[in-house]
Amino acid sequence: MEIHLDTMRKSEQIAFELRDIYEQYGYRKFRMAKFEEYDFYQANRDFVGSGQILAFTGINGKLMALKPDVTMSIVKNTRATLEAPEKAYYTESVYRASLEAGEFREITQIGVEFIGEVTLYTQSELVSLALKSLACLDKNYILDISHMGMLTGLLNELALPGGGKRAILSCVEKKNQHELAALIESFGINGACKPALLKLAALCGPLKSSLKELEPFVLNEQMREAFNELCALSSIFEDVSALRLDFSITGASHYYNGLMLRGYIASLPRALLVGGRYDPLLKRMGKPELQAMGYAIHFDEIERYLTPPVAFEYDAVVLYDEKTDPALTHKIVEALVSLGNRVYAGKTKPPRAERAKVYDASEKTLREVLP
Amino acid sequence: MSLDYLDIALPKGRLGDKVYKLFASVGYDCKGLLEDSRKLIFQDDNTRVRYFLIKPSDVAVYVERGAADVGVVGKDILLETEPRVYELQDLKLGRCALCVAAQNGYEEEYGSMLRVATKYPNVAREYYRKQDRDIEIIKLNGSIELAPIIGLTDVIVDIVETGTTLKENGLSVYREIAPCSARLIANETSYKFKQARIEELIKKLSEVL
Repeated sequence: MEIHLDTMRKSEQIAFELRDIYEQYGYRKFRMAKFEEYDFYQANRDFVGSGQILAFTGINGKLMALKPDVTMSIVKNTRATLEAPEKAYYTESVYRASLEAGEFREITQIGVEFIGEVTLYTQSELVSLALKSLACLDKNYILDISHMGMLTGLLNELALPGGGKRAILSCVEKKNQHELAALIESFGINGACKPALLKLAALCGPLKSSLKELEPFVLNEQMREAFNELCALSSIFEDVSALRLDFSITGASHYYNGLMLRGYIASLPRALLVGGRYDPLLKRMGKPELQAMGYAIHFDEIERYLTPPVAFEYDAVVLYDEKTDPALTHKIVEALVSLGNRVYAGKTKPPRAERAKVYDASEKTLREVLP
Repeated sequence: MSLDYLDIALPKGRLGDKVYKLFASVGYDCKGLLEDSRKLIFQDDNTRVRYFLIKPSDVAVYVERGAADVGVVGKDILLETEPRVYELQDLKLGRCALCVAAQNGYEEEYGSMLRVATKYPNVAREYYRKQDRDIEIIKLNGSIELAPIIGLTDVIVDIVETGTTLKENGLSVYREIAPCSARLIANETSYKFKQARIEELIKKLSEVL
């Protein structure tokens, strides 16, 4: 059967292409129920974005939730071990509060999760899949990466209260150098930490050259490990200009601990690919022996920004009347469909058939179209 | 997003005029922008810059949604709306402060719920949340200073520039919440794809600020 990709909605086309890519790399489709028990999300509600969950009472009186997140369900159900990891992808609807809409919205997410032992190769595979995914969406794309080990390693050097660390991270996330400088001053941060903080906040550029700039500011073992992981990626993706380093990408340290990913395409005003390494989430969910990394692509706004699909058109029209033998019409239609045509059979020519070839349902036509 | 032009959202009014003069002084001029007209878009094909004149409180919305690459907005509005944008530079124009103000001689009564009149409900809520203070917010859109005078509220949370309006109405600053000024902001995606142009703008502005 021929598949007409051009008349699918763009998100359907992309989902189709991404599925193909993920399966080629050994990721298997993960299916799950639409609902989970509300309590399941309650303990980790800030992991699911806004933290608001659409809940309802189930038939047996239990409080249930419409799934706000897929990753947690995969973690809960995984049978992965360090030796036999789980490589999963999904195309699912999730239900989250939208600040813009002021209401809950159904959002289609496509994502990839790796649960097991996250090696350097695993990280490079996920970076590669993220790059390929973005390339399916737009020819102008950028994948920014950062590393939580670099940020937390530096913050651990500073004797600051929790609120102080949060304020510093917030400035790094916003690329707000002027307020970061004021915070450094007010907290009395001196020595090597001061230029290192300012450098992390300012860095944003190609991976290789940015790492070179960063190296003098690596201050401790945790930062060194993170730096080495980034260098390993840099050597694998040396020629990929779309892969860049940007430490404004952060995540909550009780969920994320390693490489972070954020993907952009020029036609969308915000990041649409978001992910990273999330070993702490597994620990919180009772699987401390496992490691994990993944990302999700949010499709909620994408339709508006991507090229609209080609309008549906028929390739062939088969016209019949009351006197025509239906078996003959059936044979002609089947023959045309088997040749890859989109066929309309009826008594009159339909709209959207301007370029379609028109056939009479006759023995002559059957001889003409039979393969 | 047009990759050729740098789209700049300017706040309409006095602050916008000052910001435009600053931008023009470092090479981002656009003919006709300061002339008296009702036009809202100005484009200069030499500098490859396009200006949009926007209501000050909407600038961050245009930038967050990618309708403009960069924009200039007051810190008070950034604190109130918390848009998902990069805050790249303090332009040091339009300096003022977000303050709690009350009638002269006011002493806060901790035994009862505090009534607060403001255009900045999120800022006020966050400020008093940090103090574990129970408050009732009365959202007003103008003439905020009137509220404590006629007993509608105990205090107001508003921006104070020179303090003249407060003084003329028998009010004074009770606590300062945050200093404010005009900030250069950028859309996340625009920053990625037009980084060189945006950084060039920041560099040129830094040289004159």
